[in-house]
Amino acid sequence: MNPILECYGLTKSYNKIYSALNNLNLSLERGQIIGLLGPNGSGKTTFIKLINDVLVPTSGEIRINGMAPGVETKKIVSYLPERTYLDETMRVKEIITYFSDFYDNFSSERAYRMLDDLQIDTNARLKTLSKGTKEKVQLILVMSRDAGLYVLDEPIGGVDPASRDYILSTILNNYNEDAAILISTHLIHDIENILDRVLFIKQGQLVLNAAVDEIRTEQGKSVDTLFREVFRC
Amino acid sequence: MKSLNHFLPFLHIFALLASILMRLFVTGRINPQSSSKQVDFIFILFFILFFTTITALSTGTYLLAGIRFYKNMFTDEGYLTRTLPVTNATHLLSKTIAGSIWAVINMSVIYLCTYLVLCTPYIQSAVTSHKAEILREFGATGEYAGLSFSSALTVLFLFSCLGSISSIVMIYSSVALGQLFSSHRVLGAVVSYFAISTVLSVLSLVVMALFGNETRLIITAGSEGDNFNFIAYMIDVMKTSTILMAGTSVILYIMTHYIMNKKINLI
Repeated sequence: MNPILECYGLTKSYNKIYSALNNLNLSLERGQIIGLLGPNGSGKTTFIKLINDVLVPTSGEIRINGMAPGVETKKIVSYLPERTYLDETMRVKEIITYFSDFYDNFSSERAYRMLDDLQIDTNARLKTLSKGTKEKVQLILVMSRDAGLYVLDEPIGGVDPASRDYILSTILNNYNEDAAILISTHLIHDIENILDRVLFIKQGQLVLNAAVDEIRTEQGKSVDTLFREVFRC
Repeated sequence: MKSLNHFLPFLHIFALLASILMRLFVTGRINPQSSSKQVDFIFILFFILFFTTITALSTGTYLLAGIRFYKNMFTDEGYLTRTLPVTNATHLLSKTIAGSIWAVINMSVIYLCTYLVLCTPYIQSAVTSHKAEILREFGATGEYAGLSFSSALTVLFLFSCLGSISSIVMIYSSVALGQLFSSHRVLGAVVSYFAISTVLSVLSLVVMALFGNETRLIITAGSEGDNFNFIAYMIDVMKTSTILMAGTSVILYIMTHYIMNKKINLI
């Protein structure tokens, strides 16, 4: 089976001086939960945007299931950006219908079940919900798809610690062996236990691509500790 | 389409209601035989108000269509829109169709409002009784002898609709061009709109001059004007403008599609 994500010499420059991502080479297999970790401005979000075709690479190429970003890859990539991307005038149930219309792999039943678990009113308009609840709605939408690659940019950043547990269990419960989950976050300690692999990005370059078990057994450190060492200011 | 439905129906219903009220309380009471300076002043005031309302209606429609296109494709909402399993060509086509439908509705409402305000029983009877004379004065002679008011209005309406669709394409292309100004995207879109408008106006003038439309108007206006046929002139202008509008719209549409495919970086 193809790797779910491959990058070859991937570079993104916003101007002539500064490259947010610089010659990134990478291959990710399915069946893993991968942490995309790095300090602010290291290029994590740029990388995620390139995967999702909302940025055009300056050079290099990116392959998702062997394909360049486009309609076919968007069918199998489920993306949670770090911002509210839904029309705030819509009701939650309307958004469910919207997703159901566009994505063949979207399960309305799963979405309604999770909304019910989190006691989110499906008749409420998005603009009436709190920031944390909006983030939960977005995560539910993203995790209600049977995707090949889930790309989650700061999925637990804006929610309370109690909800974080539910969100992490949601991520674990809804992911299958044929899929991969790429999670970008600063809250390493909170998600470390669910990660299989970590990618450390520094100044647009990959400085570490290792299995979490390797880090623990070979270096005798937690991911959080290693992160603090590598990115010490 | 649905996103435009939040505001535009209210704008158009308001314009229709304002027109009905103006017909009932102002133009419907016109009696030229008992006209005075004060009454004339009030009529002029109401007509200015009417044309301001119509202009605001059009501006509002195009502005909202442009804003919705911008928000939906290039702001935070773009993170959803652009990650849907749909090609940019489909996105652009669907937005253009939705915007064009509203532009045509807007044009229809403007025609309806104008009819409501102007076609009072007095004016209708005056036009009916002098129909042949009016048509002759406009140039409905010779090859245009069979032209009726309704067919002339239909052609004018279709031409206006084409112009409206062309405006939507131009607004969308301005919004897309604005995205190339990475630090000032909205300002870039506004500047692009005025730049495109200016270029198209100059191009239109040049083409009209080349086809002799403008020179014919100037020459006949300079003479006694007996040879000037308004209908023939307007038909020539509309033919040239239609070709120009269609041509520039196709070019702008292709350019917008290219920018959306190759140049868009959401911030």
